[in-house]
Amino acid sequence: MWRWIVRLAALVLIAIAAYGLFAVLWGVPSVADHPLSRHPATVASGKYLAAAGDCASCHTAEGGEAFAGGRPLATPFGTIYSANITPDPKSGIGDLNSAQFYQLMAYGADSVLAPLYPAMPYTSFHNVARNDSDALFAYFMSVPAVERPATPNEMPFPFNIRPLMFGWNLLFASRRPFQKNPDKDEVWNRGAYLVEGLGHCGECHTPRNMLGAMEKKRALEGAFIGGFEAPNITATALAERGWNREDLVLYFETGASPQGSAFGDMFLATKNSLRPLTHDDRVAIATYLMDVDGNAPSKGDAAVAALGEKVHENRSGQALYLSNCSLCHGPDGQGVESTMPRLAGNATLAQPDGVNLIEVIAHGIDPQRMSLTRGYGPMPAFRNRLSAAQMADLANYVRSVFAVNGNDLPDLSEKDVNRILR
Amino acid sequence: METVQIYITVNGRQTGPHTIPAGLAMVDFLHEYLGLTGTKFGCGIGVCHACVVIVDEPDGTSRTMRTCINGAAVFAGKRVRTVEGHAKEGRLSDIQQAFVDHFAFQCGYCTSGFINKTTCLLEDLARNPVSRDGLEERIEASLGDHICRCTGYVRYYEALRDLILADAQLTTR
Amino acid sequence: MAGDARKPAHSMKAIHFGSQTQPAINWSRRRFLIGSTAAGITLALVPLAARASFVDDEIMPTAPGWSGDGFGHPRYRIDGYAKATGAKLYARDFRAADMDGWPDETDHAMLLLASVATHRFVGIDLTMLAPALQPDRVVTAEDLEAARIRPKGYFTEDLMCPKGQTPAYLGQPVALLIFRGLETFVTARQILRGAKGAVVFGEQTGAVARPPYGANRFTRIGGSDPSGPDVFSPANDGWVVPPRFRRGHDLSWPEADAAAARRAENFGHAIRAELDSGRAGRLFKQRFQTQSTDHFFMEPESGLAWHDAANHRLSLVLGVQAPADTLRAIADLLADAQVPYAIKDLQGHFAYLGGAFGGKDMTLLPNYVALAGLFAGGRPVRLALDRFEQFQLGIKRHAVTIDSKLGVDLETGAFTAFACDLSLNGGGTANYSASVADVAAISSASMYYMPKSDISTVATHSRGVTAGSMRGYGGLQSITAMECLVDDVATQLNMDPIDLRRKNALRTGYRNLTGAVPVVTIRSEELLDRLERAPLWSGRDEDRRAFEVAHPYKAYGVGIACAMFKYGTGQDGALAAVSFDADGRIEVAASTIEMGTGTSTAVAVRVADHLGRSADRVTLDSTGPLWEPLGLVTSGDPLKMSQQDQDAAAANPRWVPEITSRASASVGAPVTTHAVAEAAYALLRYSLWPAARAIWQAGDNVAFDDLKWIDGKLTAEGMETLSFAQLAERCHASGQTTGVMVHAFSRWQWARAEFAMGTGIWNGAIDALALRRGGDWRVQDRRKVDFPPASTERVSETYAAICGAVVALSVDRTNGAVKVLRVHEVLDCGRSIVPELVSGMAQGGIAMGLGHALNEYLPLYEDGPGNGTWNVNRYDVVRARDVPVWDMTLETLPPVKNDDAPRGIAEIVMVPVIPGTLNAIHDATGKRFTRLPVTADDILKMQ
Repeated sequence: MWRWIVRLAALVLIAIAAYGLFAVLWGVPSVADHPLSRHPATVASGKYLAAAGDCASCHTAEGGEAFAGGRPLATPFGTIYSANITPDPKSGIGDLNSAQFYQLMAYGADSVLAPLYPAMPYTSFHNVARNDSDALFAYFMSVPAVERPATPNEMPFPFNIRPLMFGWNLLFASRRPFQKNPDKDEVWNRGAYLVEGLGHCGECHTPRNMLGAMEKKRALEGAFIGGFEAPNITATALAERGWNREDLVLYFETGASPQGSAFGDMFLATKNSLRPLTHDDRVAIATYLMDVDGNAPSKGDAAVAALGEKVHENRSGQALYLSNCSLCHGPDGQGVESTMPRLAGNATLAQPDGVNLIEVIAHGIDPQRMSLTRGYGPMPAFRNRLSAAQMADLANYVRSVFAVNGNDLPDLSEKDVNRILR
Repeated sequence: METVQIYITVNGRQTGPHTIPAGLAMVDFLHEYLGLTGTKFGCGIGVCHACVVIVDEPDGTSRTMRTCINGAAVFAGKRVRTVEGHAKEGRLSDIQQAFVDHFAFQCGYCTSGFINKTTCLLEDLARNPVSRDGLEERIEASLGDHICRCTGYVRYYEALRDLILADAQLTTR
Repeated sequence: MAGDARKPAHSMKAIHFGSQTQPAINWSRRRFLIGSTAAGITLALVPLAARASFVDDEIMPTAPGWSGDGFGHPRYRIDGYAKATGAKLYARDFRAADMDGWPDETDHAMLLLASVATHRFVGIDLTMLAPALQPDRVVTAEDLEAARIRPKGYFTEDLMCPKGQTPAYLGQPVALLIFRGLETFVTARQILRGAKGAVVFGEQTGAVARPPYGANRFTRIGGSDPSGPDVFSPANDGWVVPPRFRRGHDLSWPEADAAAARRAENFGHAIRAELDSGRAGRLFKQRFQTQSTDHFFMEPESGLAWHDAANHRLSLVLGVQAPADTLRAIADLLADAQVPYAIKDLQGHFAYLGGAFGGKDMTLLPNYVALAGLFAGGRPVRLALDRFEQFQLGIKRHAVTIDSKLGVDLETGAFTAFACDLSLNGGGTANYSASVADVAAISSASMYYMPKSDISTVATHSRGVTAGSMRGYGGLQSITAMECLVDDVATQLNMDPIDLRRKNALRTGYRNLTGAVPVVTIRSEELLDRLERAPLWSGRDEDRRAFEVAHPYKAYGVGIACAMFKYGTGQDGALAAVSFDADGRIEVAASTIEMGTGTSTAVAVRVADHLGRSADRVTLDSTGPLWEPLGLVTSGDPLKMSQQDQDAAAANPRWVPEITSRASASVGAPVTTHAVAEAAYALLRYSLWPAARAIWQAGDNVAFDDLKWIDGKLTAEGMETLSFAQLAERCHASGQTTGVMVHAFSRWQWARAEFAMGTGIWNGAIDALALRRGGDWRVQDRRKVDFPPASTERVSETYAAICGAVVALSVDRTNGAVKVLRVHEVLDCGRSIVPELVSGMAQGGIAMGLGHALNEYLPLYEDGPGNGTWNVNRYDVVRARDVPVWDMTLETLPPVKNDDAPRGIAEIVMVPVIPGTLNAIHDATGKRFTRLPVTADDILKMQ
């Protein structure tokens, strides 16, 4: 029996040694170093790219200093705290060079001992071109240095062994740099570069497998995250819910469009990362997502059924709508531009599984200040005012009357509502 | 036009049935059907809180609700208190007297909202008092959304703090 | 708000103005549809306390014991009880059923407003409303033309945009819809709100262009002595108009004689050349731009109207700051209206205001309330704006561009010369743009003396929402620019900001930019001393060190700023009546309205100056029959009439230059309570004093000057103390005067007149008097009157209040967020009648000031409030968390013996906080901002 244990221990040691060798050889591809640029144009371009990548949203703690890290990121495997990426030598990236910075961006590791967890989306940033990475590095090295020691992650065993990540990377983390699609035009490809790279849209909108990796085959087909559903944003699904390229551009620029307004994490993404983009970049992203050709002018106008005064067969839903919702959103769902989102033609209503609609009815939305002249007031929460059955009636009414695909949306039951709100 | 019929209890008096448009805002119902114009319309989109009334829940707790973005039908069957109902037998309620004594308001148009919200706060503190050093924060958490354009909020907040501190049960060390 | 708006000359008597302040509350007619116990409900719902104190037709629902024991300090506002119990007070509270003599049912009206002003208006399309929801009456421009209801007098713009024309401004009404039942109205209104297409536009035509509303140039060359004679000044040589605006239009251009205009131009040119060449010392230049903002008074405008065609009477319930002028403007509108819209009797009931801040002075809405009444087929109708419509149609503050040049002697820091060009965006209708432009120019030097100055100002028309009177009235903008510029000079000269201000402060007797000498003491030195000693300023370096240690990524900054700003309009009229009944209850009436500033309380307390205790009942009424005993008439424009016209008119003992002025320009304390004090003095001097002498049989060994009130009792030199009731009973019994009604007029100084009072001649600061003996009032003829010289029209702004602010704040280096930590204000308010009202005014002013500096912003045209989609979700009104709600302090200068008249401070308390905040941001970040508001993004960008 004793010999058996010794043989097992030896096997484990060999495995560990083999894994160690693999990690050293494969873990961190070597990369040429480029001198840190202080040129204002590079720093400015880095600042623009940092906005496009929405680095501030993760790398700034609530009420903390910009880029000083410390924001908790809850993952199914434990809570990770974002790193300090200000140029402080001790707790920030002051002691890194551009090669190490690129290695972290593209491969998620600049040293064998401490690879990053994929909460840092190197699974998308491998698409970022090296000169863009250098520009980002130049910008972060120019922001005010803030000494803020890293907050230790709360990762249970075995996930707290960081080198294990190399195994995960081997399976799921592509290292292929971005390649343009030759039979698509420049605008489409710029959109692809942004969406697949710095935009890292897939990190929310692409479903993930058991080990938390994006399922490449079902890219952008929608996933549950942060209490809401990041909806399916493939071209067909977007068109089905009434979207078109021009309205997407308006949505990226203002957080609002005829198809409704951004809320939850998407509001933060639009405010911090999509709004600061140039108009052309927003058009590029919309072109790629709608998979139209670069200069397609079309703006489909969603035909909204003429909403007369006829009493709807879902009487209880209509009465609930008129006494709870029509005071802001208007009896015909017309809302008030820039103040109360329009429900007629709203894309959230058009989501078949109705998760976001029920969540918003139940929990409401906090006031959202987009800029000096743009901002939505609060949406009240109805969870302790309407029963699940009433919420189902109300949801079915607004979906059938206001969603562009209203007639072929399934009815939600009280059971659905309870499941969504569990 | 879609109508509904409601019964409602206002300041202790049962009223109804009233046949009203389903989309009639509660503030319009109070003004036009009950003639109670003490509840004030300020913004109509649920931001300024001038229009809040108190709703007494069956479980004994109370909360304020905005009457501009909630239909009268939502209050059907509920027990509602408005600013006109606080003074009893010729005496103002404690918070009304505190605001009057402190010259807390000027034009007085936002006062009914402040009075209803602070009434709820005082009743809540009577059940679970707040620590003394958390008092100012609690006042901000309670009144922070109420907009007043004349007073700069100073005398409203001072009147409320002094009233709470004067009653030992409402605070803990 | 100086209002030199042109007013056609006519006597009040042309159309009978009947008005009461508070509409007669007819309790029995209260309409509560709550089953049989309606009456019961009514009583229960209106708490007994308030009920007990409401007597039928009680004008001012006072609370028992509000004024303490009457002679002590008032325990709370006279309207405290009513406001705390939700009594019916505001125009928005009233329906037809509440009004004595009106039919029961109220119809409802709404306006359709143009959200575009660059395309032709084709017509309105209400097909989105189901047949059952259609309005019962639609009133358009064509209907007004047919009824010959045309804009005249004050309002010169079309009331409605005619079909086929491009709207004159964003938000111009295109139609008035009147609905019979409340239910159809509420449902229809919800569908129309936010619905596109109800107002149909055709092709693009570009915006309507109109000449500027007004312009002026104030050029002054001072003599060697700041209070000595000037070489050239508007006060001596007349107001002149900058050359480029002298085209022929009849707006409010002062008639400038050619010679003065030429001399002004030469001097002005010389001053600017001196500045540019450096002969005036170091030249400091600055372009400052302030933004359009909204008053955001909590009560959106509204009104009730009822056209009683049988009696040719139109009755209105309104909530406005200018009752008399509002009625006169509506009367002008209807002057040549066709039957059935012609009226003979225009009656206005003026309710309390739920806040105004200048925004309910001469606004557009009352005209449309009147129209709704006329076209509602004899039924009472209510027109009440919602907040979107208030943003779209309501008055805004002028956005101003200020280009300044200041010459500074480098050795001494003395200002040598000042040139400034102001351009105000007046929006779509005139309102007070011309006069705001003048006041902005005249105040542009803030609290500092300028040996030479050349200021040009113009108020331009634009398609934006109307800009008009708002708290600070142009001075807020120009003083903010000046105080930031002075801060820059101090930094670049590396002088202490207070020393530099002390070096240049305007002192008592010095001339202002128009060459006029303020008639009040200017205690600028004492103000600066107290600012310097304020711990927030004196301790700022230690505070900064301590703060920045505790908050490593935040910068701490302290800024100071001062302000000198006028109060009064140069044409201030006030009526007051003080009387007592047999058992000593004192009643006071005053011609003003209560918009929250507490004037009603101040009026009641000011009586105590001479009668030993506050009044028991206050009536606020501007135009009603209450003042008929004086039988006043007026004519001409008090700001523009010639001396001959004034002398000729003054011969008629009933003539006065102005009957009542608006509740504006901070006149509550200085003007309204002045008339009350004069009336109370006359009662003491010519009623109580003779009665007391009779009771004391003291003969001559007690003089009037020995009288003293102690605890509400009258005594003198050891005489037996007499209670007020005793004196009152004696006066009534002996047929003495028991009531004094006066009118007072001020054109930067009070008119004075002599009256025979039986026991002597009274030379009072009044110009009309009526006395009540027994039951009725009898007017008294004035023996001699001297009105302030008509030429003083050239002299202006000579009542001035001064105020300073210290602002401490922090700026987060990484995201630019500003947090205001503490504000300390020092104010010269003369004698404060009710200190709590002064302190409340300052606290509100500080909050509104901070909002103007850091939060509030309105785009001017298509994506601004004129498009009807603006509300408080994105117009950032200050909340409690935005102000140092626990750390706001006010220090008032103790009044000076011989000049302790109350000053007008409602506007000045808001002004210095704005530059103070910008100077604090500069202190914290080293960045100078010259555009408002200063947001976190702006600070971050400048990082």
